[in-house]
Amino acid sequence: MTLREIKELLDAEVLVGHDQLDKEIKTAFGADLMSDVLAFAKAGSLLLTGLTNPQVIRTSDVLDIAAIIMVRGKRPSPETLRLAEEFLIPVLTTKYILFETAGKLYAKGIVGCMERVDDERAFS
Amino acid sequence: MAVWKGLTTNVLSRETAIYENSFPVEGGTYENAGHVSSQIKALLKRMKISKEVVRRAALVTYESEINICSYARSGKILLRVTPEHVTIEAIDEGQGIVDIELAMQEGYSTATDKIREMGFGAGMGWDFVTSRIFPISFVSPRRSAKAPISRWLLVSIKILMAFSLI
Repeated sequence: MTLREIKELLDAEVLVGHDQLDKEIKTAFGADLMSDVLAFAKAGSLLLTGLTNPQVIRTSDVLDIAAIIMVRGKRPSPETLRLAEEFLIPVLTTKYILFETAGKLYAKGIVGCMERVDDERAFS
Repeated sequence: MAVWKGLTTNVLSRETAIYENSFPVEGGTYENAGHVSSQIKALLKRMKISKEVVRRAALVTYESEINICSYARSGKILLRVTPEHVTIEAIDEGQGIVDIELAMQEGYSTATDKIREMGFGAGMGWDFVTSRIFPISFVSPRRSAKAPISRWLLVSIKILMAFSLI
């Protein structure tokens, strides 16, 4: 799915990355805990989160996250948006809750970047 | 890729560095948390090091940096690149760890509300570093449980991690 299709599906507003909507997305990870994102999210995945502080962008940059969807209508601070622009990471915001956001994406074929946390205990 | 039993600091120090630098990290604030990781990531990328090594190196640097910002008074990240390895060493000056075995357990945390607000402090960091990245060395002088936490102690946590380039 492209980020543009995801934007339509989630009735989302693009806050950063209008020029990156053709990006292809295949997997996603959802969490409000950055420690979990660091431990489990995979490169190229979409990140669904309700957290809006600048560390969300830093974490995403470190992991090569493809784009961030802020759920529950969350809007990040100007500082967070400035960092997203600096690192060229698209940020979208949707009014859907995390569960609905994940469900809508899953129904369209986006899968988790891993199924269970014991899938691969090795750091790979 | 991340580790080898057998690889020691002696082996690593015999290799000739093509790049070596020390990056200071300010403790006790999140203002610049992640800044050093971004810098190191960009540097390694420019050296044309493989994407996967760059990503992993950035990840461990970030874990270490967040740790310094969260718990220490100050710290530094040392980056050393040789034709064979990228090594990252995190050294901090903070309050030390009272019970290392307990600190290594997944889920154990001494994080403050401020740290949790930022999305960290779930007690996953050390477990992640030790069980998935396998540091070459992890040194933390034991702090006496009776020592007052309110007073910063000059105790350092030092972790060395390396990535193979061949």
